[in-house]
Amino acid sequence: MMQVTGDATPLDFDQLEAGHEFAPTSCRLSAETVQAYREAVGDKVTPPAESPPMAIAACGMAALARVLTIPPGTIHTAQEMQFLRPVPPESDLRCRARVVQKQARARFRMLAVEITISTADGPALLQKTTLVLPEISPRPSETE
Amino acid sequence: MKLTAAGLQPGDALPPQSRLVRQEDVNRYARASGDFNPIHIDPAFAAATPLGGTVAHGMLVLAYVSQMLGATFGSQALYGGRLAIRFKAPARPGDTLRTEGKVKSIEARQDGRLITCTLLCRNQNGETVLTGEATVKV
Repeated sequence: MMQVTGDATPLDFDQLEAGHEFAPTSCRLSAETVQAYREAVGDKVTPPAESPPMAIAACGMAALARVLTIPPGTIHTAQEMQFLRPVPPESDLRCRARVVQKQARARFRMLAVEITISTADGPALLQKTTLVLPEISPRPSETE
Repeated sequence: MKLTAAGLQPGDALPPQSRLVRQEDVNRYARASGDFNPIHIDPAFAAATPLGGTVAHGMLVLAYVSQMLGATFGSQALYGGRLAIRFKAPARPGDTLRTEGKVKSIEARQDGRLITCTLLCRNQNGETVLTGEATVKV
């Protein structure tokens, strides 16, 4: 499983504003993690000396879950990625995330977050994730 | 079947790929990625949501799309390129997902060519699961 470490306490949607930069996190992309990922997605394309590019993106999502409270039922609606260079297994990744868009209308809550994933050699992947969070429960006054 | 830029033209179709998504695949992806959102792995929880049942991780479906591109253009093709996807409908366990692509444009560069493709992933009922665009460098 992808192991993400960091000092931050996950923040809730209501605590965020557009432009907010989350505390950085780290993800160790061990050989075992990469192999588990390959088997999980049936990867037969990526050479053994490289991690599947989407495994790096999955690290980014795991890093986001470390700094953002993602409630059960959250839906992933869009994803953009720029793959800059291959990353070998046994790499230490540094993840930085920033809120680029936040919308809350009635009970609709949407969040777009940009994530930069870097190794010691520099940025390896840039991604933007859009999430729709589940409806919030009505306040007691709304049900009386 | 691996393609090269030579001979490709806008409008050309990429070799499609199909994948059966099983709940065990979704569970295995949850373990590998650390994403244990119950919407993916807890049938009782998922049944009580508007989705009515478990759904595959969007990132799992994207992995299948990425592999289609890698099988078509080579594993290095995504580097220096990009992928932009919108998820249109959930992929559910038991679905067979067919990923198709079509060449949209080809741009010559000093260090190769950038091929932009539109992407479409549909389930066995013809419902669109995702749409998007990929740019690969070959």
